[in-house]
Amino acid sequence: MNNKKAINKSESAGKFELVRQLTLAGLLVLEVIIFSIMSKTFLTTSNIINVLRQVSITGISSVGMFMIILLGDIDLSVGSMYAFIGVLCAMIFKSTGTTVLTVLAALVLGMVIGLFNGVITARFRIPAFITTLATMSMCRGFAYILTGGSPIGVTSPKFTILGTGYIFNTIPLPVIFMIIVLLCGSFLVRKTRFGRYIYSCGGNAQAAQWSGINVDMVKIVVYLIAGLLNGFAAIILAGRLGGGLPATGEGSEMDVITAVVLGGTSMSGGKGKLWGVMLGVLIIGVLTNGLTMINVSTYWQKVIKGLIILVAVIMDNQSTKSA
Amino acid sequence: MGRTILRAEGISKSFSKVQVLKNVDFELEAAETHILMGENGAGKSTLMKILTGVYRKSSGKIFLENENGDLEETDFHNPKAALEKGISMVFQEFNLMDNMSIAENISMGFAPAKHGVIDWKAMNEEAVGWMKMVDLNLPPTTIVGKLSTAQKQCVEIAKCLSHNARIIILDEPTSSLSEKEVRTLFSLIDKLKKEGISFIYISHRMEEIFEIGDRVTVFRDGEQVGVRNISETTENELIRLMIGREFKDKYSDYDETKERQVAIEAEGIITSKFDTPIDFKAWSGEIVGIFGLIGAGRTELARVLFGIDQSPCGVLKKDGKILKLRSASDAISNRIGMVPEDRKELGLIVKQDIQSNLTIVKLRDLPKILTSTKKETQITEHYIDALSIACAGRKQLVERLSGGNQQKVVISKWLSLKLDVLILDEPTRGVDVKAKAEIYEIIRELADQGMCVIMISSDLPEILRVSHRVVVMHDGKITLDGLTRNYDQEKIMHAAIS
Repeated sequence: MNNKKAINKSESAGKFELVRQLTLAGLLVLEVIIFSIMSKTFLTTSNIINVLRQVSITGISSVGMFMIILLGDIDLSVGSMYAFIGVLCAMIFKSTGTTVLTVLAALVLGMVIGLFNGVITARFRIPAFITTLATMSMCRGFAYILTGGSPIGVTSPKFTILGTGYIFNTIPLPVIFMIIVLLCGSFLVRKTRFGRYIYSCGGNAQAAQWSGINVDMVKIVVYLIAGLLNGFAAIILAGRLGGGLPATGEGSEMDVITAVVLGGTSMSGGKGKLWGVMLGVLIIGVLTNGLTMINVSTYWQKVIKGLIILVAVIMDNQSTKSA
Repeated sequence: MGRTILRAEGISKSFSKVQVLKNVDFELEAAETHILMGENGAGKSTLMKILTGVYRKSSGKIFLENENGDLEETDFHNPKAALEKGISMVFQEFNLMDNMSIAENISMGFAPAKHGVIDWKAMNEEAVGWMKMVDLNLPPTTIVGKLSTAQKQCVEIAKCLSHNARIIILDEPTSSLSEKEVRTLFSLIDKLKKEGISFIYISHRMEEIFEIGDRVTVFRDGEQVGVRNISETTENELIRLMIGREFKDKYSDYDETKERQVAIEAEGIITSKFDTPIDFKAWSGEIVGIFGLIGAGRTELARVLFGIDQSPCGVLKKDGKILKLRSASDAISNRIGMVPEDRKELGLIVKQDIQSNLTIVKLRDLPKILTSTKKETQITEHYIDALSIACAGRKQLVERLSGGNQQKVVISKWLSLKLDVLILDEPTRGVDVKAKAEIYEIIRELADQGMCVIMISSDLPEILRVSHRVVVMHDGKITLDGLTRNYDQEKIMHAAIS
């Protein structure tokens, strides 16, 4: 008797998950249809490629954010990291002129900031919200200090290629990077022991610790990976913008968090799928692009995105209740 | 006998086609303590939730005594309606606000007010009145978070009384009380009974049922299978009713003369809450039961043995070699495992499925890159089968399992490793009778296979039944250590309280 009840319930929970993913896919299709009716230039090859290039930055960072939210934490420092790392890399490139060194610097700086976030959060038991809020402020501050407020332009194609280059003259390089990051991220969370540990720590950190998992280490490594990916995204963004802008990435974390939550990752941790996150990234990307195409101001876009994140979290709560 | 104040006839309840209560009858008399027994999932909680207005019944009738002393048909649409009719329930996990005072908790939702402003003086005065009835002699302004479990329970009961409760439902009220606190609770129940209050008392503890109960109703698989007067029934009859078959107790064979090796040993270690150094030894192939009252320092000792806490002095040895444990991970590497008392917080990730929970410690033995989940699936299915975990499959969420089956999942996760020492902290708490017997069986088998099993328990009959050797702790010290067969209940209890 008990078993039957349980089967029904777990089935309905699975169904809810499926319904959500289908709803998301439907939402994406609906967006595309609406925008192609409202704007003639929306459904053109060049715009589609443009959308993909735009989402690649969010896409890369969302893999790290996904893992952080799986832990039940959050990272608010994404946008400021773009600015700080972008500015510093533009300066490094200006003085050295080597692409490899610049990219390496971006990745290392990203990891250092990630490590900082992770160590403070895990070892000192500070809520991630506070730690990354502080990092967000500090990174933005450093970006302005380094530049004195004015952008550092870099025109050399050796710098801009990461953001503006193409492969086979059609597919933008950032899109390729995003796909690689996605595949690696998906492999990490689904096919490795470490990935399993992320879900366990997010599900119940104490129980994970009592099962012999070094919870602090798992957390720190996750933040390190997220920092690395943010550094990578930052250098691509700087390449696309043609230099380091201290004001860049303002509110970028909002897009990344919205995409992850919209994709069905539970804010309380331990639950979520990376391909859901990808749907979330695409929905946000298409929305931003489409709204701009039909001349909706960025101010109104902010209002709309705010509403979307609310709806996404409400959906998460409802599914937890019904499951 | 006394007059009936509550009668439920033919109550049925279904959740989306699954019937969880089948045509159940229940009767409660004035000033009686009526015990409800049954395995988890047998239907007792569902019936209580119907009586307190949490669930609506699918069919059947409920009659409740009205002001004129007649039985009148009633139906509760919500918990408040039941409360107003004088039916209150004290849940196992209390519904108290830890950050507020006793008085605020008692008057929660019904605080006296003057012109819309809370009348603190009246509130505190009223609270003192109710607190006196439950013998709680504290200032009404005491913050509830500072109270002991037993005192919180008194606050809960006072809260019921403040709603003019005629019927109080207690759900396993003694599960986290010490022996002394149980005495206090029982005398309180006796006192309130004399004032005409009836109790519905849910419990699994046989000895207290016979002490406190007047009548007992037994449930099995959603049906009511019998009502007995306590004075006319026996333990075996009740167990038979509950599990539907004859229950045979089996003592494990323990050969005292056999040479055994010390598996784990602590010399002069200090635990987190006490300053007396402790020496402790456990041999392989034996079950050592650690008995004591709540707060005697048993769990603290186990935490050191499992590497969660570190002792500032003394040494730990395993198989004669000195151990340095800095974390649970170190302990597991040294083949020591622990089933914690708090299953939901420390033992399980309740929102994940059985497989994830069962293989969480086994993962350390599997390759870093998991090419397939075949091995994990095999392990999970093996233990679901071997420990007869009642579930809808390995992908079922652990929070959907009954307490006994959850505990079996926690135990299985340790069985999947090759351990030398397994510590179990209150392994049968909140577990139904049938699962209890099965867990004892598993523990005995492990010892027979040569494992050293350390079982912490507050249930004395359980210690006597299962353990080969008994260690009693009191106030952070070991006060008794010897073969169980040389001691009886009285001697052990004596060591635990002095």
